[in-house]
Amino acid sequence: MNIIEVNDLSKSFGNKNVVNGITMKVNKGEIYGFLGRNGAGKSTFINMLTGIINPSSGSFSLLGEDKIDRVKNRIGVLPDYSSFYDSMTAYNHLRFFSRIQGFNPTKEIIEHTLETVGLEKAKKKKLSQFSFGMKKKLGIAQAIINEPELLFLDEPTSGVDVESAIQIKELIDKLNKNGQTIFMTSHNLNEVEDICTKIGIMKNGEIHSEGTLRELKTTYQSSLTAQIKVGPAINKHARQEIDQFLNNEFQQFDWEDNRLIVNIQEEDDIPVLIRMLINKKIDIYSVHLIEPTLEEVFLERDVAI
Amino acid sequence: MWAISTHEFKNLFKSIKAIVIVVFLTGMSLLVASLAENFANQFGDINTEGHYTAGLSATIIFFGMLFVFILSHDTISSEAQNRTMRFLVNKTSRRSIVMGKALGITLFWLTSVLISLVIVSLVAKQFFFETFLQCSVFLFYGACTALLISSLSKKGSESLFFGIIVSILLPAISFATVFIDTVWIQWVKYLTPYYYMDLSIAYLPIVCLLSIIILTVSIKIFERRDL
Repeated sequence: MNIIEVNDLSKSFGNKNVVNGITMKVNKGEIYGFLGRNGAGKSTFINMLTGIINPSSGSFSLLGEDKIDRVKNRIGVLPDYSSFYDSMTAYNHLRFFSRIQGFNPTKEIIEHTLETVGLEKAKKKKLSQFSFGMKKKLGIAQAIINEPELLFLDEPTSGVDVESAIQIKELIDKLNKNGQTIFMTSHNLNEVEDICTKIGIMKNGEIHSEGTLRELKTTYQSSLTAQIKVGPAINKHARQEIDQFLNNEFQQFDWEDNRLIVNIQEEDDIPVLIRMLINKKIDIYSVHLIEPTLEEVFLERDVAI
Repeated sequence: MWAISTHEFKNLFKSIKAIVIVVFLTGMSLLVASLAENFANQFGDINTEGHYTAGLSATIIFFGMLFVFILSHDTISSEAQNRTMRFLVNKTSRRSIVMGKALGITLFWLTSVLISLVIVSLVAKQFFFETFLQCSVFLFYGACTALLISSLSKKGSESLFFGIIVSILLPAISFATVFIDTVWIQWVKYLTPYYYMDLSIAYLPIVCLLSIIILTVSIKIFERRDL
């Protein structure tokens, strides 16, 4: 079942097309990461799906419903750039917003949710005393308190400290393991790479590319790096033969002390390399295959990010 | 909707402006009711509803709209401006938000009028239900108009400006109909609650109907709005 189905969705502000005819699907159980520069249209897109702004044209359905009001009690949303009722305490904030959603949480549920996001000690604190990071966590808490089937997170880790960002990433992973489908936006490549099962790259209001991390890397034909630790004593003649072989077969390679670093196109190249080294009577201590990061892929190719 | 109306209701009672207005309303009601009681003692029985509730009714008619706009002009515009509305709209329908706010504001004014009338009734030794109905319907109209202006405005300052203009224009136009015979002004009087306040309470459903129409327009405008 498609949890999110979007057909030709567009949004214009005046003459400016911010989102330009996006069509996409998100399947149940996925963590879909929407990636793009600031101003690429990510937030506008997520804001249309969550009812914050109205589309100029196109349609979409959430959890099989095209009337979003019907599923608001089954989704959770962390909007970007939101304010809080500063006079409320964290506890009251969660209770108030849950009630609006038609869910009346017990004291235990509220406390457990605050504990999940690491705010258990701040439950009686007024939101005016909260830091930006704490408000972000509270925003996540209000989004997950009713255990939604679908969770929208707009830049969940932006502006938070490293420790909090790690906690949030772990929480997203945990929620997904519990069966929740997550749609998140980010401009942080590492974040998306770490947790998302599917990635959409947005550029100028359109989806430039979409797929799993591996698919995207394959699409952009990015190379892998094999790092081979060899014995310290390689005679000059053997070294020349190896270099000649690598020059002919792989072109890009380098030696760092007793490590041979070779750019390969696919995993099948590794046995070829190892066989060659064994033939030259080289001792192999270890072999590491290093995949390029998403950032390396897109920076190298100058795609979208 | 109930959670929003309760929140709105409680928040109104927490504001200093609201307390000052309720005290003013109650003070005027009590003052005029006491004067009426003194006249009754000196000049015989004038124990009619109009005498005791004149202070409350006059305050509501002359200042009611202004009071409602001062307290509730920004109920939507400010929340949209500072983006607390973003949390609300992804939890419930926009219709529920506007209706919840309308209910909260109306309940606040019903309570305020009730407090004033209970105090007046202590002096008059009777409760004036007709006045309660008239004032409540009038203020419901005010609440719906405030919501309309708030859903049309992008900022709190904008809704305050237009709210004050409307709260002055509405009674001004209504009173102008007494002296000016122009056709369009005569028509306008049927769209404001002032004309019906002077008639029997049988006409109050018309004010309710007008208020519901204004509320429906507010909902439609708010539903089309980007936040």
